Amino acid sequence: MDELTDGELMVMFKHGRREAFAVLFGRYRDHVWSYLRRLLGDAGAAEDLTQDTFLAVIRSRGTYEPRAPFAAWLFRIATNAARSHFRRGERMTVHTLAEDDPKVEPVAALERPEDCAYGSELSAAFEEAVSELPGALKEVFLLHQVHGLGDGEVAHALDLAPASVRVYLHRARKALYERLRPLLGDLKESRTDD
Amino acid sequence: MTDNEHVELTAEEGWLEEKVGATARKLPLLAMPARSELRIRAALDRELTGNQDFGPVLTVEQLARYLQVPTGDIHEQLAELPAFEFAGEVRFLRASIDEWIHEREKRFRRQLLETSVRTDRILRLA
Repeated sequence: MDELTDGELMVMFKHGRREAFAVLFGRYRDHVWSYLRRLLGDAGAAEDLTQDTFLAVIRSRGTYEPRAPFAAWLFRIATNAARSHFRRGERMTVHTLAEDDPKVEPVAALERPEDCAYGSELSAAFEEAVSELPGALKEVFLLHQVHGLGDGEVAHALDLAPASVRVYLHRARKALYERLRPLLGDLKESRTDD
Repeated sequence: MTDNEHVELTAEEGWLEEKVGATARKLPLLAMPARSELRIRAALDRELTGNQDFGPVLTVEQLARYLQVPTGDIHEQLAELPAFEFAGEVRFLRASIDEWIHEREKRFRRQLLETSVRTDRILRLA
């Protein structure tokens, strides 16, 4: 069943095959969790909203139409849950991942040794800089750059025009660079020296 | 800059975006903590199992069975529940009940966390 596409699995689930949902949950569990964790900056809220997101998938399966890719639909549900959470004023304090929960573990470590040399300092600074992006820029940046959604998928997930996605992405990268200029500059120099 | 404005990149901006993008792609997925996953899987299982046993609208008796409590408890706490009346009968929309349960789950979890924090403070003071 692992070789089936997300859309095929949803159609199977719609027709009563619960094991198809289990595959989808396994495929997207960490994506939804990571997205909400970074978006909200709060592990407890991320857990609640990850649960709400997958519950919504279960409850909406009868009306699911594969017009948009499953990932875009799923992240749209997660984003709406996060926006409702902020509207309800349940946001506590913005924390960076490191200070909020030191037990958070990445699924995959950096792969190359040369990445590890500057990776820990840059990664920590990068996480902090991303956590401080304004909401809309953070949503676009995370979905596009971390979760690998294309422009059209991000547009569907966030209810934006595709052109706006490019603009928001540009603004987010620029803001991050301004924040991380010393570290990214060092990176350029070290690569040039090699 | 407006949302509709065309983004034209200078060579330097292109380089910057490439560097930021390359760094972002190394940002790892975060693994969901095992305890969180267990709780979420349990909630999803309840939802999937409930779907097999009950229709979208529940009677008082069905809700009591759904919540595994005596029917009298449902009558006693009717004012707290998301119920509606039709043709002189009380009914519950299961989706509303599920939503109500999840809100109570969150409130209960927050209470537990607060209790735990208070207990930690008391133990530290002692």
